[in-house]
Amino acid sequence: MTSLIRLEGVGKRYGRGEPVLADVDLDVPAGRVIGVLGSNGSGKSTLLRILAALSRETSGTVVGDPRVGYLPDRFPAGQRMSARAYLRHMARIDGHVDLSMIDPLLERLALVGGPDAPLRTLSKGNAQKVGLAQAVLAEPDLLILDEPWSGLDVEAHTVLGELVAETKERGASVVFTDHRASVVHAHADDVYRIDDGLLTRVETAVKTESATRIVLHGPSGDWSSEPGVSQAVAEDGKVILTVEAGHTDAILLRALNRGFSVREVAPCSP
Amino acid sequence: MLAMIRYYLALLGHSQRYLPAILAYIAVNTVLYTDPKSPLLPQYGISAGSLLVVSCWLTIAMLDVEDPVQRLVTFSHARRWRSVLGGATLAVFGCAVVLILVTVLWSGLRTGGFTIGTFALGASAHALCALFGIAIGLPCSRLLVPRVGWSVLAAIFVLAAVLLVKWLPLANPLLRALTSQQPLTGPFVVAVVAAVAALLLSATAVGHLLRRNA
Repeated sequence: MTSLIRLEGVGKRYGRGEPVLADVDLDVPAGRVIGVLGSNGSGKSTLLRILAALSRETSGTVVGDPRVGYLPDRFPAGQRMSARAYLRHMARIDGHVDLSMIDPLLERLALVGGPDAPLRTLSKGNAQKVGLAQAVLAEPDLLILDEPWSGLDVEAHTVLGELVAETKERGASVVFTDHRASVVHAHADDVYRIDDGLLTRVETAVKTESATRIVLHGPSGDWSSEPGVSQAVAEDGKVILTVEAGHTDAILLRALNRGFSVREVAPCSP
Repeated sequence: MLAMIRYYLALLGHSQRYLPAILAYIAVNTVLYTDPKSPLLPQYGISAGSLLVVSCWLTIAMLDVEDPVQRLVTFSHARRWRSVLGGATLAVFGCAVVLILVTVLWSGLRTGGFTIGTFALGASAHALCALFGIAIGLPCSRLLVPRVGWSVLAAIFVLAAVLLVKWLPLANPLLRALTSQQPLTGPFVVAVVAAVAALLLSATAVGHLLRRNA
């Protein structure tokens, strides 16, 4: 497969701080969807910025310079211009002259307020839809999405999944990040995990591995950042966790140590 | 490049941050060009100095509209800092050209006409000052200075140096020659070279630092 972009031993540190990425090797072939799994602060966003040529590596080599569409994890929409006007400007800057697909794309994403809504009036989710639109509009060779599912409503999740699939179908590649294993496994052809700046490939066998549903009762707390927890939902005083099978015992032990009562443990799909 | 210029002009237009500077500039013009008998060149010296400040203001105001993440998105489309900085520079210079036309036409109408030489000299002096203003605005903007307070202080300090320090061969010699009606050839040539060099140096340094800090 043709390689669109390749990272060879790439490292990144800001100023004299600790390295954010260390010795990262990643090959992005054409027509593949690559998912990067990692918790907050693991180096996901920095990795994506280097792939998008928005940040420069401090060591190693980046080979390839594809045309990129980039969606940050939080699309800042503080401007007074309308969503349509903003997307027209971005398309023109990209050298993309067909502006007729802007309105249908916003309609497909069900942008509340429509294309004439000023950016600064949009909610976080709707701003993210405009951000997604600007990333896919010019049909880039490499679509880079930083936690794209976060902040989007359920309907937009479906459209996002379709856009990722369409991008792959036309021979372009997608690299996206998320902190939930279920989301990454559901959409990616190749899955990587990043921890403290170290990128490792998740073998296919792990992809098909089952997950465990754990229902806990007890004090409130943040479980989403725990290693192995792909989803954490608080509901009626209970916490429902979807946990990678390999982490089940560790999570149960941690829950008991924290004073939670375990109400249910059952296998489920990732 | 045209698309970048249009985008930046739209950003500036929507933000309305251009209003205080442009209203102040028009007020200066209104006060200056009232007496038909007054010689034009000294007045051009004052309005050109004002345009230097206005151009600096417009550059900072325009570049400050985008927050750093939004700027990354814009850069992902432009793909080169050269396009981003070039677009911003040309957008502000376009605004300055409109203001220069307003000034020279207004002064011409108030004084009952002028020679082509005076028109060209006045317009050129204003244009050079606009280039100086942009050159100061680029590094003082949010591109390099994240907090607006420091932006303002840095810009005031550099503007004061460029406008008031006599031994700095930037805008001061030209403005002094205009206002005191001294021979203009030498200061004008110095200002042309200095303005172009200052803008190139400023844009190159800002581009380099943006790439280095990315």
